[in-house]
Amino acid sequence: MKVCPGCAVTNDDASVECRSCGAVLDAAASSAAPGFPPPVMAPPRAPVGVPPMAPAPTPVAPATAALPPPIPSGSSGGPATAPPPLAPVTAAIELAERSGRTDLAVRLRSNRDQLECTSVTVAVVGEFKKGKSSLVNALVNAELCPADPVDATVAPIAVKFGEELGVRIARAGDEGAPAAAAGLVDVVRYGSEAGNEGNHLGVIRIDITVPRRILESGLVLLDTPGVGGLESATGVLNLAALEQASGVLFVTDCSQELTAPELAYLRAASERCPAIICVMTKLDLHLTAPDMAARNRRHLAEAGLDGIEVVAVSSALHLLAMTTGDLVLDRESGFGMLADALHTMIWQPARRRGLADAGEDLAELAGHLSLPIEAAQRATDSEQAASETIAALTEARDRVRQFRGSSAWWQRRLTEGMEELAKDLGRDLDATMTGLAATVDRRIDDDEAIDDLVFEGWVRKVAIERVVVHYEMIGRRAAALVDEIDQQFHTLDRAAALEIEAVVPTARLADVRVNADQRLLSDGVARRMVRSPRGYGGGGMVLVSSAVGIATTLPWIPLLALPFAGLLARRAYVDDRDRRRDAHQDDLKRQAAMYVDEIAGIIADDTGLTVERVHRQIRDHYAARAEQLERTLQQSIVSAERARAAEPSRVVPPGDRATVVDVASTARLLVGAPVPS
Amino acid sequence: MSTETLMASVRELLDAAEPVLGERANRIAPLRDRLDGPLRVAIAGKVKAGKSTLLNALVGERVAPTDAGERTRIVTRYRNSHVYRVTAVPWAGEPVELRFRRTERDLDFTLEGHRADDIHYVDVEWPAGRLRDLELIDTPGLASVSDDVSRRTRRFLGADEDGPGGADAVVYLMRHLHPTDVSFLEAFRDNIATLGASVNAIGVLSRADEIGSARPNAMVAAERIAARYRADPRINGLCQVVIPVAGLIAEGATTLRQDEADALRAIALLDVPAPADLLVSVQRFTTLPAPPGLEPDVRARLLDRFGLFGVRLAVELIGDGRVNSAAELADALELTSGIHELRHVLRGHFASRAAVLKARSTLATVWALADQHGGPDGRRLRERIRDIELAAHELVEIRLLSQLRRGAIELGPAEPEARRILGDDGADPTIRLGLTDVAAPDEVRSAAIDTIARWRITAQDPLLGRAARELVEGVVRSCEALAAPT
Repeated sequence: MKVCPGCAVTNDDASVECRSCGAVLDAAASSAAPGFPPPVMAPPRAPVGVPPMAPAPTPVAPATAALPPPIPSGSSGGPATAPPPLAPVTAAIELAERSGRTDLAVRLRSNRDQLECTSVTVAVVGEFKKGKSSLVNALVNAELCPADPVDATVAPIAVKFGEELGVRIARAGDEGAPAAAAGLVDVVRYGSEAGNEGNHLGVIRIDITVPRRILESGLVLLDTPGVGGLESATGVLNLAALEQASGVLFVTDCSQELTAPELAYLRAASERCPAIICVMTKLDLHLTAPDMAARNRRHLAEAGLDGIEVVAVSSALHLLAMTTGDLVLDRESGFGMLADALHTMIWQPARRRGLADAGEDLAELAGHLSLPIEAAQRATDSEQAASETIAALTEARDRVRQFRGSSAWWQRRLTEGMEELAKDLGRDLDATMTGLAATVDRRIDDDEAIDDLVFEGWVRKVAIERVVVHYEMIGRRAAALVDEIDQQFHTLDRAAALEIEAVVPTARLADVRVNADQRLLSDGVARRMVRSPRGYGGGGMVLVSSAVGIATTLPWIPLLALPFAGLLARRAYVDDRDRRRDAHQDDLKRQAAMYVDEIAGIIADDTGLTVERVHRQIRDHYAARAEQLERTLQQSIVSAERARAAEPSRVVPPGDRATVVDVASTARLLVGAPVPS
Repeated sequence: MSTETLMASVRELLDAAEPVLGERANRIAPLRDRLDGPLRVAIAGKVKAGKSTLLNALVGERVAPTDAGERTRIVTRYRNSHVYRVTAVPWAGEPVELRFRRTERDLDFTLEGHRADDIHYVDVEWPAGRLRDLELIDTPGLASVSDDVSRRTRRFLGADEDGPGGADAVVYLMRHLHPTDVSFLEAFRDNIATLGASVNAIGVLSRADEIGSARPNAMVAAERIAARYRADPRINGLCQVVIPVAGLIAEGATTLRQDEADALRAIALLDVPAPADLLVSVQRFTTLPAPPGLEPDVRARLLDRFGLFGVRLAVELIGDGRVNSAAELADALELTSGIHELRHVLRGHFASRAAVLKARSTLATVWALADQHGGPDGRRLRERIRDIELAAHELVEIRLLSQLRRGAIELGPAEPEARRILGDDGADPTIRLGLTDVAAPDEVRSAAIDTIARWRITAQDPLLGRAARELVEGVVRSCEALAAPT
């Protein structure tokens, strides 16, 4: 029992919050055995007021809470996930500010955040009632997600690190407005069938922050609704959203082997996100678990999915072990293995990618910082060198200026490409919806004894499937356009870089690029696109996919909740009389057609908005890049001219040069390029 | 016409039919047996839904095969008898007696080289008290409509609603699925496709003990799910009720042996390891060192028989001192398992109407025979059947109920009452009129008269369709029967 420090009400041991006043309860105070420290927990808080951050975590972390400790690698070759040195970046921020480059300072700051911590989203997906929410709760050792034997989760719930417990609920209709702050009780009210059957409240997403060490590394656990099974509209949406996840925990249980639909889902999921762990829950209930796991490994191998790790766990045992401090029991729960797999298969690669992305940015930033210094250096060599340097820089600056102009080639190409895309999308949507209507009619004709609700679920599913394909087309086409423009920009970038190559030996942008591309290529279509504008420090965020992001921007909720024009007929449709059946079929057809029309309307509107948004983002991104480049070149010209007239030692403080060299070396280290001695 | 008169006229019909049906005359004797025999209940549902376990629980002995051998792919009929006998009944040719052997797990026999496709059904005669007024039919798992195995099931259950069905009533086993899942109605798939909505169907949420990870509240959770299913209009249209049953616990309870009860008792009274430690997981339960008599294989068998939930429940019951003997333990487990409720409903819904259901399926069979026979004799028989059907309001009630259930007639908000009056919740007059079961005959009579008055007003609604008018008139007639002095 835990007694609430705020209102003295007695709560269950498993409670995180007081059932009466909502204060956070302290697990450590009540039930942890000596020698077995509980995971990081906020101290009890009074009903009113803001609680302070938990005191520093306990000396020895339990096996599972050790995830993911920054394990020094280095022996394994390749880029390490060891904590990168932040001092050079801090020095660079200072340098940027001193030289009036606040734009670079902003980027450097977010770069430092990115080096400190990579956000790693792990989607938890699987069939209805397999224990997804329980798994998330067990991983963070707190009952945050509603886990009930009857009521299912109806909206995605993201659990991430925060210095105090917090709940935010985003609902359809209030896009743009900040998500409403709420308590844990509301998670049940809005996130599960207990209070929100069929998600009639239009919840898009629930975010929970909680002070847990396992999440401190940037891990975000995304519990997804399993309503309707994998082969439903919700299932299709979950699948589409995997594009933006770093990893997937596919949840099934130890009671039976993977089914054909589950394998099909895994195959589709692995195309979107290759880092998948198949978690078999309810280990504590099935003696046959090892046998089932072996069968599942065989099934996966036969399906060509042998990269998927299979781990059997028991959330119940893990939670019990955390309460009683029974280390042996915790080993039996399988969570140690799950934590290891999560660490090595999902977190580490994502972290590596995050660091490499940050390194790439850092290399570019180093270039921006070093160019004025090297230009000045060069200008002091001789009068001729000074003239040549200034001439080259001026030429590069003028080219960049041209590039920035609204009549520049890339601007025209982008506008043209987007107009084309909008036109093609319109045609595609028409064809898609006509095809959908025909498919629906055929199904009605073929299946004489179709159940109305089953039919409705099926229509929703095929409709959403096609909508996803439609949006993926926006993403693909926009990405191709970005590639084209990027190449142009890259040439420009490279041209500027080449001009400067002689003077800037430490940061060859082109070099870094090539290396990065090789890495990015292996990561699938989405990741090949350029980074988002704010994402200079944002790492894995992808320009186009952030604009077309299936999970974030689609009007999903309206689509899912779109009324099926009174179709919800009360009964299973069974009728022997042809006339009645025909009438019923016509009715179904009419209502399905209305539904399809309505979807088409919503999607057509949203497609237009999305194309505009993508256009704007791409344009702003390149405009910002070009502006920065111009500023750097201008600054370099000025510093070269100053150097021409003055003593070199007065122009370039030796410390600045060292800072730039340090930053460039750090960048090289991060992207895995050899560091020149 | 009372049920007795109905049965009498059906018997007279059989007597009249036998001499005129010529080569089909030999089909009459089995019908007569059937009329006198117990109600036949088929157990249907998807593979692995727990059909055989439930059947064992209903029989009170482990007779049905629980593994996936060829025997689970044929229809097996279990009936009470004074002898132990297993017979294969082929579609064509003479029945063949099969050798069998009783094992600890089930009743073991093979088809002795006969092809499953050639066998109509296997007839198991077994002296068992529980089979006296209920004959059980184990069907192969319904999988897909095109599937061979489910085709065999359908052939046995009967071609259509009014056809000569092999079963008087059906118990459908359902898994825990979300109502929006496309496979939610899978248990009824074949029913929808071929059998039509049934007035004589019960849904069972099987394997209820596995819901909610075998925690103590498993049965409470199962009841919540069942309630949700009952409220689902689709389920509601296909079967009267949905009951959660923990088949494994029910089977274990009805077949509990003394040595098992002793072992469970020994576990409940253990000091080291403490029962709670032992019951943490199946792995600990089967591997932790324990005193002699509770060797790992003994525990593994207990787990196999009762499941973790069952063992936890039994140990708790013994540990709390709530049960003190094997018999008390069996009773307590049975009570929790939900099998009592199922038996109760089988009695209430099926047995009380057994005679009518049997009369109905017999009339349908004779109709089909007369039709095949043709000629003036055939025609006369059919006319006679029509007369019986018109005279017996019990049969009309069943037909109307069936139409209401499957939505062939729309009655709006008055529908629940109409269904109740027609006997949907049970045939007892107090139930039909929504009275308490202690209502005096006078109260029943006056309630019936009030109800008639209300429904007569409804009957005058000029907007009622033909079918709905017939239904309302049927309801009025049911009330009149209830109002008649007995």
